[in-house]
Amino acid sequence: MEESYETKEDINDDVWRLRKWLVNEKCCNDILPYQEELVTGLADLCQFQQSLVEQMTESDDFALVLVKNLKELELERIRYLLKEYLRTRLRKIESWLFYLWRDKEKWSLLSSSETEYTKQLHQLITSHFERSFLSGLPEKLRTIDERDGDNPPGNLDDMDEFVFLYAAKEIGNVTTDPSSQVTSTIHIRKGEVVCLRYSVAKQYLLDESAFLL
Amino acid sequence: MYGDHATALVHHLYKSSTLPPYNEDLVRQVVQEINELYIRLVQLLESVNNDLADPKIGGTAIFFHRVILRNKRCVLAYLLDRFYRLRDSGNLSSVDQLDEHTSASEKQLLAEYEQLVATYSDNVQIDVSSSLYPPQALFLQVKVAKDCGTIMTENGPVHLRKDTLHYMKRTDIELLIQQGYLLPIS
Repeated sequence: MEESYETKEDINDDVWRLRKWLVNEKCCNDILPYQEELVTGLADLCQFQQSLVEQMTESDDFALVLVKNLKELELERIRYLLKEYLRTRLRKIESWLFYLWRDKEKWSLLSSSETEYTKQLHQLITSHFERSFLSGLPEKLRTIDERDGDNPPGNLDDMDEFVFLYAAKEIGNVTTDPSSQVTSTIHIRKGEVVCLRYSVAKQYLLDESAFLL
Repeated sequence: MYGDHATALVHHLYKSSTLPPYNEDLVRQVVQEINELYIRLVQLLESVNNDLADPKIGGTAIFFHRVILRNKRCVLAYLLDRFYRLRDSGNLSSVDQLDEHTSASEKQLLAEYEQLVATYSDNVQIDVSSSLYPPQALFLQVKVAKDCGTIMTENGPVHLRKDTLHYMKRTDIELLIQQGYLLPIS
């Protein structure tokens, strides 16, 4: 690996955590809990750093100019992480809109803004369907939540697909396939990379003892 | 054969990697077919007083119903996939450029979707429609593709005339790059 995935315990720990959660979001097709404290904390830090940068007036001192530019670049990088994290979650909401609409228990994993976004988007899309197509059909055929055979409209991908997991902490013995009649366990140590079913790996993502690659 | 129009609609979109024009005729034909099948299904059920014990009657009723659902699913998938392609096509504010390829309903949906994203950005106080790529550097060299007039930067006003080169802060010109007015050189 080009860089260490060791947990960095310093003021940039939150940036590191946000990056891990962004990769988690990108690598799995599941609705993960919204990291509100992390996002709000970093957004506030960015605002504070922005005010520091604005206070640094133009100077002929090369060192000061360099420090200002470095702070601004760091600010842009952290802002990119925040925006990409929020964008990735919005994309998932858009992809799994009708699944979310059917399973409202999943809404507890969304932020209040994302919940509002889901409701509004559902309204926009269903209005578009009405205008373009459904209004021309008999009234009994205008609902969207009908099943076509065994396929409900909108469904998450297979939760048993394999994912690569990096253990940030000692995890210990893990049963690799709980549904199988043959019990198989592996021991996961800190720093190891393993390939597991997502349904098994999920709990370790949620308590941040591991993250996806 | 029943379902051919719906199959053609999905195939028409599947074959194209970009966004083809909205096929209103095919959608209308699918709607017509669904309505015809629905009338036949209702007439069939009324003729046997909803008694589907006879396998021939039950089989025919199921066939009509399944074709109706399949046609409906194809059209909804067509509409949804077109929305995803329009969303991913980049700059949505220049909807005029998509005039020939989109229906009136799609234009309305895109305008409302843009507004929804803007409202979400206001709520979280983070503009999610900017910084689409990881920032490589603070400053960028750009060439002006179309006249943009004058913009204010922290170093003063900058006149962006066509074919001129400028070395500017990325955050000042990101929107103009997204809209195609400026072309990054480095």
